[in-house]
Amino acid sequence: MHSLTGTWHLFKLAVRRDRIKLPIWIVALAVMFISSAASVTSLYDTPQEQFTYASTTAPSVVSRVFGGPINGPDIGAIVMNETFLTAAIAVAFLSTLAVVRHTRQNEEEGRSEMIESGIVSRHASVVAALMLVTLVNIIMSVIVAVGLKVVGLPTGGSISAGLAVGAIGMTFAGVAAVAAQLADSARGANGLSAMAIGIAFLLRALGDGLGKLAPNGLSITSALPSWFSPIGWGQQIHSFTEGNSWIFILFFGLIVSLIGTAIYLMAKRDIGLGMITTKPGPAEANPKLLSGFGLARRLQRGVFRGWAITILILGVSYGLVIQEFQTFLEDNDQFREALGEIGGSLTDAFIGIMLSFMAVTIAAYGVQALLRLRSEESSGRIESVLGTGISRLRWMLSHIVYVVLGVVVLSLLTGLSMGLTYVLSSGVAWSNVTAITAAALTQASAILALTGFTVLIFSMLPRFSVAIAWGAYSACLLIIELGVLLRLPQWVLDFSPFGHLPIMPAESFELTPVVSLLAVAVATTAAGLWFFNRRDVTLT
Amino acid sequence: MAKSPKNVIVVKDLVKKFGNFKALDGLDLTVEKGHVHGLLGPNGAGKSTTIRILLGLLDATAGVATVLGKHPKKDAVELHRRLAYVPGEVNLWPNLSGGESIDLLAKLRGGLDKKRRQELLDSFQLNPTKKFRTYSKGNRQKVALVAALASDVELYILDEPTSGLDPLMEAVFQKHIKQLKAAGKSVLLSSHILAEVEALCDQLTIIREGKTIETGSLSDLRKKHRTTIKAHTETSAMALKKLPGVVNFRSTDRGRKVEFEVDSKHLDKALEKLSQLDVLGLTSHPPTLEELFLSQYNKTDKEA
Repeated sequence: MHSLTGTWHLFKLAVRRDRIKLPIWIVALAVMFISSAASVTSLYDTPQEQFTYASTTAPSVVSRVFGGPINGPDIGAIVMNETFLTAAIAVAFLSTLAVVRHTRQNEEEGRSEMIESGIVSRHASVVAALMLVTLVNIIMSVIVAVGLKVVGLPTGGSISAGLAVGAIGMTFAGVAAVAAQLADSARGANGLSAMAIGIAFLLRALGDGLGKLAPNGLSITSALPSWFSPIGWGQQIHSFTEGNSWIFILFFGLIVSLIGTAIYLMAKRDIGLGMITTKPGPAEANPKLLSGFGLARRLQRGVFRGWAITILILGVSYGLVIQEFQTFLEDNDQFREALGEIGGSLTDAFIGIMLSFMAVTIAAYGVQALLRLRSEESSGRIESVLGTGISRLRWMLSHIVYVVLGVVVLSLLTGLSMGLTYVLSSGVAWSNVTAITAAALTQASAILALTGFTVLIFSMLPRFSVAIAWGAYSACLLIIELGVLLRLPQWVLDFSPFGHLPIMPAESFELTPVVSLLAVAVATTAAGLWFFNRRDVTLT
Repeated sequence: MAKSPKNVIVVKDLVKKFGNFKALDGLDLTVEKGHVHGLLGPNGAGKSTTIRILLGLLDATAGVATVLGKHPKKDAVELHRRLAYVPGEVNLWPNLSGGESIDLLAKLRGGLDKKRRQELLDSFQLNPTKKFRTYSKGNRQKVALVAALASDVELYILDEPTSGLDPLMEAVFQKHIKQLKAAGKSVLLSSHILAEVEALCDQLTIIREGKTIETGSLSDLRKKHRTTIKAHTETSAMALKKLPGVVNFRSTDRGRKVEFEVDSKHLDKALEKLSQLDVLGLTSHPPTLEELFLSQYNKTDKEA
């Protein structure tokens, strides 16, 4: 038996296990990436518009933090600035989740005990997982390269950008492979990997934010921290302008050393154990835990806190961006035209659109948090809980109440953080805070309609609820992302609850859509509770 | 508290279909108050399905099921405050410690006796500070067992609660169940561990393919089955071979040493015949629990 015996079988097993999940991810990312690249190239199709973009984006710290270091008024550079970061982060998560799924998760759930007792070498599982992720990253590289070529960018730059996305994916696959050796649970390994992605994002955000503006005001030279981040490396390649291909050597070195480290650690440790051990917990429960709602709060609070921090960061950033975009809007005819249809002042229309993006973001929290109902059921934990004196209704309502409160609090947080930042940074009237907060809270009615639908689907089609709920969410996301710019017909827009609300604060509040959406939310939630009380709990 | 009827569990003609698959097909089960009742059957016989209907987690397709005189689904909350349940597969929250899970489950059931909790932790030698995901299978079962046994309720429903316990812990478990019995509590115990069933159960029900095939006390069941007899006689005992109810007849030493099995109802006749043949030696033993099971588990549909 040599050091790779069994790898091919495990690779085929991994492909088979992911035969549905990965294609869905890949197709979804491809659609998102290519459609946003296409909308960027159509928005900035004249040298004048490209010049305006570069001259307004380069001085903006917020655009640099959330976009990257713009590299001149080049359409390729603009597309990179608008799409690369999202693509890189999405591919990084796709890669880390897949690696952990096929390494540490197997160990945690006891599958690897059976696998390792077969004719399988010690390194086979981690190598097989990396092979799968390599395949995924090759596909993603090709999609990005072909997508960029199709929207009209030069071949060389497109290939370079595709490779950069793939290299970032492989780097974080290596990080996840190491994390899977360190942590003793899949949750822990995913947490370490996500932390690494977050740090890489923040380092380059810092480096780009502190970067030096070129004398012509059209490009940025990033500061040192960007060079400590693999995501930063990907951006520093500047595929369509400078073409710094030597950076791929850095990627190669890092990927090889990460994978080498993972394999070295794998050989040193015991199966099933990690290198960081789990800390013990309390011997007795805090009295706050000891109720249906207490349990729901304990299970839900981590997810809520993560989203609250995200929403706060986004709210403050959007608040800062409003003033900057005012200048940008004045120079951009097409954007102004699109926003002009909404009515009210252009700034208010822009704020309204930002708020609807934020609402869709908060809706992701709502869907994710409510699908906890399903994971409690499919994991079998529900059996022990419903075997006690808590009713099905109470169990379900505990989670629903927490999530509804969570959605309202996050909406409030959106309005306050965005409004206060806007007022403090731009010196506009304080009434903007209440106007923006009111608008954000109005959006909550649409979010609750979507969460109500999630509750209903959980009760009616438990086995498909995760796919259907996220499918419905993605449809809303696509409609809101592309609907305004592509001017989709009204009947398509009507599918999304978000399309029914006035674009506040540009348009004035309307009671009818809010009441209707809340009625939908209440009706779907109530129907969900009714169905759950009548169906069998699905247990294996 | 409502007064319990004589039978804590009454199940009649219970049917449960999952799509086209019939998991239960006319199952009957009666558990008397104050008894430890064993529920036995091969894998997939419908033990867990029955228990989940008794807990209101599943709805019966047809038939009647009552627990403590109440409807398992409609009166679930009231019932679950009066019973404690240990599922066959204990899945709890990976991030909560064992102690937190015990407190939570016991509290949701109504309450927890702290002193009793500590006694149980000591006797089961369970460390409550470990996160649930770091427990072995046996220790996960101990978490659920401590949570259930720390609750003072009328009825305990235990689904293969000891399949992961070591013999020492099995003994601790048996000690606690005997204490419950002495205190007049009722227990429904699904198990594959025959020694455990033999040691604890007053009554048992054997099910197969969703049907009840035997029910009664162990001695009742034994009466229904064949006794094995070995005899050494002065003259040939070959004539016994033709008696009604005698099977698996083997003989050596020209028929002077015989071994056979005989139905309980024909035992008298066989012994009478033997006594006429100058018995030199005789051993007989009733069916062991293991023989009882194997004969029931192995039956094909035709025989059943």
